[in-house]
Amino acid sequence: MDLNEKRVIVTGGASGIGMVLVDQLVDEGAIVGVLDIDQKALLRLGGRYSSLYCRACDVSQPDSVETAVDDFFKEFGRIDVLVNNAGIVHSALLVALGPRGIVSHDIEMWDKIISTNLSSVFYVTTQVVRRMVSQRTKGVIVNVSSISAVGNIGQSAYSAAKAGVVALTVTWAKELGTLGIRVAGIAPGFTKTDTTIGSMSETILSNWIRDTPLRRMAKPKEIADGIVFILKSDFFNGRVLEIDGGLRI
Amino acid sequence: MENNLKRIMSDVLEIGADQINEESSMETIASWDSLKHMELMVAIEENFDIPMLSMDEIVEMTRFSAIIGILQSKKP
Repeated sequence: MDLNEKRVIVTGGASGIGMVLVDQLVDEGAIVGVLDIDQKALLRLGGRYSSLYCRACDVSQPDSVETAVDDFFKEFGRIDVLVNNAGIVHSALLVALGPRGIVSHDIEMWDKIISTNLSSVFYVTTQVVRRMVSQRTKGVIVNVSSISAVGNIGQSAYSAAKAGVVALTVTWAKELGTLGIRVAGIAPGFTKTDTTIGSMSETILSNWIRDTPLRRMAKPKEIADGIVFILKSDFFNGRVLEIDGGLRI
Repeated sequence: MENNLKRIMSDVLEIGADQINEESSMETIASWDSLKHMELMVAIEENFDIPMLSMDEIVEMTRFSAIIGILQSKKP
């Protein structure tokens, strides 16, 4: 796919990997809509590009998603690409032994991680694909999973959500391929973003870097490069591209 | 037109063209589910080189005879 003039929605595009991806998409000539819950970050991003469509949206809420996608669609007439990038990281053991005895994984936090990282992908993609199908748009969906999708200690909810994202990716690739819509995923390893750094202690992060064959975290641009590669590779479908420096959890 | 449609339906629905007749519909062909229906509509648009079908037409075109009727109405 040539990204020039393509209408692209990036969720969670106001910071981290998403923001770097937005830079690259704008450079490619794409018309980009950013859906993000962080209004201040959206304002900062909008100040950099006057052509950007920035829209506050809580992707874990179906109504918020439907309104935001519909507004983008009305403004730009079609949607060619969706990048489901929005997500949050939370680390907690299933049960932890501490000074207060046995502490179980917080149920509210389980629900929040699942809704923000997994249900959101379902909500946004449903709204986008129904519009792609109605216009016979041969579009592309890229879902951001994670190296943790295979199961990572201390990340029950996050790992389950990201594994679910992989399952949705494969399912939708099978369902939509005959209509010319590609669906693929990307599974970043530990990436130098505020979200990753803020989600674990310095010691744990150092251990992950030590265990990574390349002995460093990914730069956000390296992950964004992978997403652009998927968008441009017209035969890449139903697969998840792992960009993790060779780390295996 | 009818033979061309049978060929397209045969390809998309993965059944022999000789199993398709005037009475064929989503109810009589097991492989003609909603997923295949959308694929069939896209294949019909491309093969007959007609403008994009409306949602009302897509909903209507669940029988061989209905498809033929709509295609005939679109003939120049």
